[in-house]
Amino acid sequence: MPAPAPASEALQLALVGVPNCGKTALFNRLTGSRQKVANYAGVTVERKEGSFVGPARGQRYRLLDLPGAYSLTPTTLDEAITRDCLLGRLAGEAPPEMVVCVVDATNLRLNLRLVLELRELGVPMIVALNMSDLARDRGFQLDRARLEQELGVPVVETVAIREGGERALLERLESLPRPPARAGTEWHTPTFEQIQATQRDVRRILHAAGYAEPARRRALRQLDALVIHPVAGPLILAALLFFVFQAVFSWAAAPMELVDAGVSWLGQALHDALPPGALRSLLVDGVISGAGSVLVFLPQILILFFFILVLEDSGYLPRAAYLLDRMMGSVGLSGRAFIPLLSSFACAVPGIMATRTIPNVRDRIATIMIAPLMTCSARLPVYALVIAAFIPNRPVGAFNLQGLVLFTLYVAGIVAAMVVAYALKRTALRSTYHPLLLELPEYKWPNLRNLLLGLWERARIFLQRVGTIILALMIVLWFLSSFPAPPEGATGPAIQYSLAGTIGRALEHVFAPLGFNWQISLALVPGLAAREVAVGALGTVYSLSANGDDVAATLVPMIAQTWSLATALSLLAWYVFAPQCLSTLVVVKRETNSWRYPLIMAGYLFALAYLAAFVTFRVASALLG
Amino acid sequence: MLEPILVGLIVLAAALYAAWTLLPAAVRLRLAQRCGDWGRRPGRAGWLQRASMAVESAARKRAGGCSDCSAAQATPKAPSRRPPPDD
Repeated sequence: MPAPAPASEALQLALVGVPNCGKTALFNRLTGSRQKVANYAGVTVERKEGSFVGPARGQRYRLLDLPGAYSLTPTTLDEAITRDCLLGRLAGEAPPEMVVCVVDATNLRLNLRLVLELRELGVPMIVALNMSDLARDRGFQLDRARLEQELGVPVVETVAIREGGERALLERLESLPRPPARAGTEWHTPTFEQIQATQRDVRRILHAAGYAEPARRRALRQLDALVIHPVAGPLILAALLFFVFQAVFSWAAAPMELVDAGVSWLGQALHDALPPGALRSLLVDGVISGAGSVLVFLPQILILFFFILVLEDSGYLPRAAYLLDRMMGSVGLSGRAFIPLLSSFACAVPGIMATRTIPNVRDRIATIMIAPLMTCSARLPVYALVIAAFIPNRPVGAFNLQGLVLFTLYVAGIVAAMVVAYALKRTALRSTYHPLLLELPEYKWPNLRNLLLGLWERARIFLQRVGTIILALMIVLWFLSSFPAPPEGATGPAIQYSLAGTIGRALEHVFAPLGFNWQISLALVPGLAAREVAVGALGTVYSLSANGDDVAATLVPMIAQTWSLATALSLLAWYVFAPQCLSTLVVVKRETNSWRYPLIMAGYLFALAYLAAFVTFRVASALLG
Repeated sequence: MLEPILVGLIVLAAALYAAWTLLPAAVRLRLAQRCGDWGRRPGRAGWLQRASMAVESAARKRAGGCSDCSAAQATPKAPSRRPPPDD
């Protein structure tokens, strides 16, 4: 029995493996983290760090989760991070003392080349045969002991998504002596002959270990034939997306009414309980009307993310990428742009970071430039507010009109992105077409625990935002909207004479051609911090604009009475394009190492937003009278 | 008399929090580091040391108003595209 490693100093451990083999799931299992996992390649694009303590000996481990890489020869930025970390080339970071190479037990042929390359490096290593339960269920055959013998390194079975699925790995880890600290390792890009020799080695080892893959299930083959069929595939994709947007409106109606009623009740209760004065106004008009009007949209956001999480877990998304490759190629984009663009439907920030998986720098910049046009979840409250106020909730054939309009807004973002990409790829970012090489993962039933945790995480993030930055901005806006007090004998609402009223009316000169009144113009300013803040700002501003001492009605009926349909449509058009998110611009700067691209992005998106809103307002005004 | 003071304090706290959160991550980290250095000087009270450390760790957390995802943390820059010398 080897001597136990000193428990006082954390052992540096790194998780390495090909994309989508379950590294992050194992990282979460070992460290108790909740990093994003999904059933497609390229979810992790930078190193993540966590720690855990071995249960038997109390050894502390510092664990790095590295982006997936098929080999040590990187083709993308995320793969370069993995290579550089392993070789000790990252500034200020010592190379890991030991590596856990995670391999997908259902796809060993693809996974083993990396194992052999790592073995060549001489890094102490354990191979984790992940998804071993799935491999067994599907009839894969493998002699683990023989594989261990052939590789000359410990091989353990893991099931990262199950509790206790990491036990064998922990036991093996703790049984090994602590390796000596490593310095940076010399490594050279392998020649073609060396790669061929490695591949031959992979085949030999797998043969020796008795590795046998079962035939793929007939039902899955048939499902794939349908899902990636050139005609049926796009129809299924369109129907699926259509269903999602219908559900966002139809399923959310009842819980939204409940939240709305709760917010209104709280506002009324505070109004009745407190004496008239600044504190009551702050709580009722600032906090409840402002932050409360954003809170109402929680059910819609959760329903949207429910579908996104199900699609991510099922393995459908890479198939959608495959289907859309032709469309992406026709505008000059790489098929690899699909996953970053899809991530941007949740938030443009991770979408832009996911572009690290695109090898060609011009393709990558083009994808970054159009990512903010994908409709992020922060736009949903703005869209939902305007749609609920102006679009009747009635059926159109088998569909709901409100859902149809929401679907159209999402499509408008996609079409605009494709047009911009076409223009960029024909001019400043011209490059040759790179065919899509994408691994299609096996279909899986979404894991219920992951799904619930994912939804909980979204709800937590949303509530945290409402309770922190949105609340803080609403309080500041209330202050600006309430002071200075109106002059003696003033007849209009106090907000008209306030600082915010003055700012709003100054901005109105800029936005009047788009049909925006001073309240909308003012709400766009705090909306720069995060788009949905504009909804809260409208709540506060309209609440304070209400004459008399009554608690303001909820926002939807209030804007329905105050705005014209042309103004509402113009605001929707504005939000399809406007880059109202400082974080996105900051991330673009960070990812491109230049201010040039965020400035170009802000410029072209604001110009498009203004133009689209102007045209929409003029056309709608002319048609609707 | 108490009401205007209370409202003033709430507004001031909200304004400071919003300004802090919306500061560029690099500026916020620099400020937090200075605050941490100041708080850790010998002779500082324990609560002051703890408070300055809390400010430092808070600054390292999510960046920007749209902290909608864990990716919005103050993460390092994307690596340069220049290949390492021995490639």
